[in-house]
Amino acid sequence: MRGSAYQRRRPLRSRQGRVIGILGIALLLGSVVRVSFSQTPSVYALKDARIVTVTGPVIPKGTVIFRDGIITAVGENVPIPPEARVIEGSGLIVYPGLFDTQTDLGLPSAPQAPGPRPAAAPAPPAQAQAQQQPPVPHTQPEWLAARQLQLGGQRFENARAVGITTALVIPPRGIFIGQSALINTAGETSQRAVVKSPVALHIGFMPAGGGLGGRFPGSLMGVFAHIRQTLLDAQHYGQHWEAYRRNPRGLERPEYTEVLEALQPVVRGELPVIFHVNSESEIRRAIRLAEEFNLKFILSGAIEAYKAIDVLRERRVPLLVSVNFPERPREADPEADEPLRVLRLRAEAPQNAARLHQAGLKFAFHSGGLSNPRDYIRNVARAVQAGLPEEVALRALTIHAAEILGVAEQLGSIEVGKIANLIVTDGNLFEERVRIRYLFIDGRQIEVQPPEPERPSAPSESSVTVTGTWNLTVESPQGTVAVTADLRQEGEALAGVVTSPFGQATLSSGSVSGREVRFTLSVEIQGTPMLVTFVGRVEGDRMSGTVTVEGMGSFPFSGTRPRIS
Amino acid sequence: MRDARSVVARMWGLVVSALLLGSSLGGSVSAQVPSRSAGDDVTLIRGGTILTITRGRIENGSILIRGGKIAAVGRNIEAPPGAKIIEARGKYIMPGIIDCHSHIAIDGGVNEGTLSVTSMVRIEDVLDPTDINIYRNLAGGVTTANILHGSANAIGGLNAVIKLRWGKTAREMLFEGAMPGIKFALGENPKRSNFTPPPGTPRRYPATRLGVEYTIREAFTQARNYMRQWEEYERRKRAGENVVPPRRDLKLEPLVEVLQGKRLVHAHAYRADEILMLIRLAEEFGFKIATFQHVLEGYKVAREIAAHGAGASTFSDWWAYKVEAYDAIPYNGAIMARKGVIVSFNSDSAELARRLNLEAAKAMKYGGLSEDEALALITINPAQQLRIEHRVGSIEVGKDADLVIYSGHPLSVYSIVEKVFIDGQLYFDREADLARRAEIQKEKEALKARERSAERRPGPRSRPPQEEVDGNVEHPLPPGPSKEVRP
Repeated sequence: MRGSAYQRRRPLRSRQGRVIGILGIALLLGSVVRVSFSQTPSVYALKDARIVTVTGPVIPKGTVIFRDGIITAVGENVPIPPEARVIEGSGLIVYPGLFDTQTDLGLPSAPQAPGPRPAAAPAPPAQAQAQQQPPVPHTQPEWLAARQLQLGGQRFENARAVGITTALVIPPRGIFIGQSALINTAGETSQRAVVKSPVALHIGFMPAGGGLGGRFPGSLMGVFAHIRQTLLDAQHYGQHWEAYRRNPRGLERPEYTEVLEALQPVVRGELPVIFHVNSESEIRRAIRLAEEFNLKFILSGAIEAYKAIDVLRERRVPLLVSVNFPERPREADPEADEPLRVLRLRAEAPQNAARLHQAGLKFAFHSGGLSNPRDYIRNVARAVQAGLPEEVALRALTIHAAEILGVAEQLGSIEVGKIANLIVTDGNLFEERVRIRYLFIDGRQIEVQPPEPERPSAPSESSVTVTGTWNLTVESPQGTVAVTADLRQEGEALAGVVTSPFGQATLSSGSVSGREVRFTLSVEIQGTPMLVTFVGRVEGDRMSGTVTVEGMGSFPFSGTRPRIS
Repeated sequence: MRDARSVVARMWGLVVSALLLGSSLGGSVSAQVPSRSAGDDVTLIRGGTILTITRGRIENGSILIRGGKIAAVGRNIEAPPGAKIIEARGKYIMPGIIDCHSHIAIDGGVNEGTLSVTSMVRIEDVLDPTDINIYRNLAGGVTTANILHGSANAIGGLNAVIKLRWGKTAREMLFEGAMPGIKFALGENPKRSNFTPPPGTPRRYPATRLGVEYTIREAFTQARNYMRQWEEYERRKRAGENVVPPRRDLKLEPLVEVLQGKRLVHAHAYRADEILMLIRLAEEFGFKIATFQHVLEGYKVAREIAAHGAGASTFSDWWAYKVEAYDAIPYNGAIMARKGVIVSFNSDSAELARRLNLEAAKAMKYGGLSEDEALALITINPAQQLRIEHRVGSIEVGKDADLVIYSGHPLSVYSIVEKVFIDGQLYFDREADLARRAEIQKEKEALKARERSAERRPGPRSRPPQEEVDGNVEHPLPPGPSKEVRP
């Protein structure tokens, strides 16, 4: 059925196309025939605006012309082609579109992808399990973000509303997480959105949380052993295939292995690795690992990079710096005696970028999982307040990002020949009340939603408030387990402490979306951390759902929140 | 209106960040940590009672430190010009304590408990130089610690011997040149007899003591085959054949090193029968056990342990916390020592490690060791067990200047650690610590006040960083008892 419909339509469409194509050629006289069929004009002139080119001097009053998605002229006295749609820019400022160099924007519900599928039933016998699941959890270097894109929707609108036109997308967690894609945020088809894929292989140091008899690696040191062994295997695999191709006579043929195949460009130093690291220790560990295997690498997160400037400077490590600064938990005990180290980190985190700049290090910014893109730009402004020169902050949002990610020929500044990703504002980008008046991605104008009312990261109307003490009961085959969850909600994020017969544990992550609640914690069972994930629905003071214990299975849970008053 | 407000906000931000930059440079941890290199610094500690451990006691003695090493020890040592003088009149000076069994400073789990053989994991990869227990142990006179994997597995992970150079990076804490080691464990912990698996978890092999022995035997059989595989490869390569090197196996490589005598085995064990089992198994495969850890029934097989050449790292009087610890006696350490075993007392606990001197003292009450013999349990003996006795463990010319100054005799409960040196650098100073407390409190209050005032202003609120909990960004509370499966 589908085939015949396609055949019926095809001649029609192609004839139409041809007619319009001929018309186009006739009309445009010699201009490229890459005319799109959409109604939007393909030539724009942004006139009499202040142009912040980033790579060149600021043009106080000038014009930018772009055609078919490419900037064709920038300057003070640029003739405006008659076919251009002219936008009056006096009083406005033109910037290159901004980057977010690490986000899960456009990826299907990030916590599940690309991690292992939670076991629905009690674990099958070891052999059957080995066939069904990847041998090691969180190990999917062959996973390509570009193949998983789900574009469009509110999150894209929110990102564009603050001027983000380009994003490096990858899930935040995992070990061999997968390969990232750099996309433009117009939110159309992935064929149009992808600027570069793959950009890098992403590696994180997250234990799979397997307990005793659970799945390796269950500890941080296990993660390192696993990464090291996998990279050694990849080297060996490459060596074996190379020898086999050179001279197969008398040699055993190596087995084709998807994971190791995907790692070949990495161990050959062609595809960079982006390590997800935040603390000083993680930064130093990642650098040691990268050097052990001669990897080309970039560090992402790097909240404590200012504490490791010695090693970062010595090795000229490019950085993608998160501006998701640690904050005091909203409902923290005001009398709690927090260690000086923790207090200092919260005070110093906004100064991170300024110190890296003073040390001569190159970095780009990313939102680090901040749920509200406005907070991204706002926190960059906080870094500026903490001493980072404004022009460096702008570079970290534009050209430095493009350079680190290898797309500086296409993006990151307002230059002839580059992609027309542009934002037009009514004031300084870092002003709190600045508005984006026009936004162009690949030279096409995209309507920007007016900024949302001032309620950053607040729960939406339909959301529930989960904050409180919950008495939950987990139904396991061995009987019921009583669990107390002290939760506090902050926007869409959830923090808190869970007490069970296995002790007390702090949530490692948590979120609230509408009525759905999801939180994960690591429970030490017999001395080994196991990852436990609760996914539930909240109706008033009742919560019910499923709890999944890594490597053990899923069990139903339910409970209530007693009202104190 | 709007502009004025944003200008004010910005100025406030600048002022605060300037203040913070100043304060964090001034009062930071680094201010209390000594300058980087020992260099040619010369220090003279003079006028104290020196407990050398190996060369007796020197009353009214002095120690000259040059370039981080002990340059001279004796009665009449003149201070060279420019030397820093530390008065120790009325004080006692002994070598830094060496804890042969510790689990401090480990990030992200002490056990890789998913498998029964985890020789591929390395403590060195996950050392956390910011663990406050490092400083606390230092304040108890510990200068070197053997950081071990937990005892959940028959063959556990690779150890890291560290010096407690508080303020340095993980890499800088490693005891350079210390012989590498590995953790083994026998008995109840690896066979999981004291633990009910959580619902749905398959029971991990092994479940019996027989299974523990088999697991180790199997691993070494694999290691021997692996070694032969490489030898075969080398032979065929030399013969000019078209061969691909074998796959490197990080689990088996350390076991090959054990077989070749290049890696020390530290075996957690309690019962006499399993101690003998491991000795026999090791001798069958041609390797040595460097230390039995805990070894509470060691007194029953002390001669056999001594004949094998293993050391014993035990507790003073800690027992009956599980069935395999029922036969323990407080004379264990002394009896093993008298039978020719090199004995040390360890902590296995971040808390106990702060007063190992008192643990040593108990060996005088139970078993009648001399003062020097008792102090050797926490200094030169563990140094020998870790093969670092040429560097540390006693006060001798040429050794590292790892020294502790006590207010009185270290075997007295009334004595307090006053100063601790590592490589001749002052890493703990009780007076300085006490003096800094008010300053720290003041800084804390200032930081908290600033946060509160920032929260009153509208501003971004955000989720904590993704990795915060997994990583080691924070240590909100001093960790409780060691996370290891109890000894």
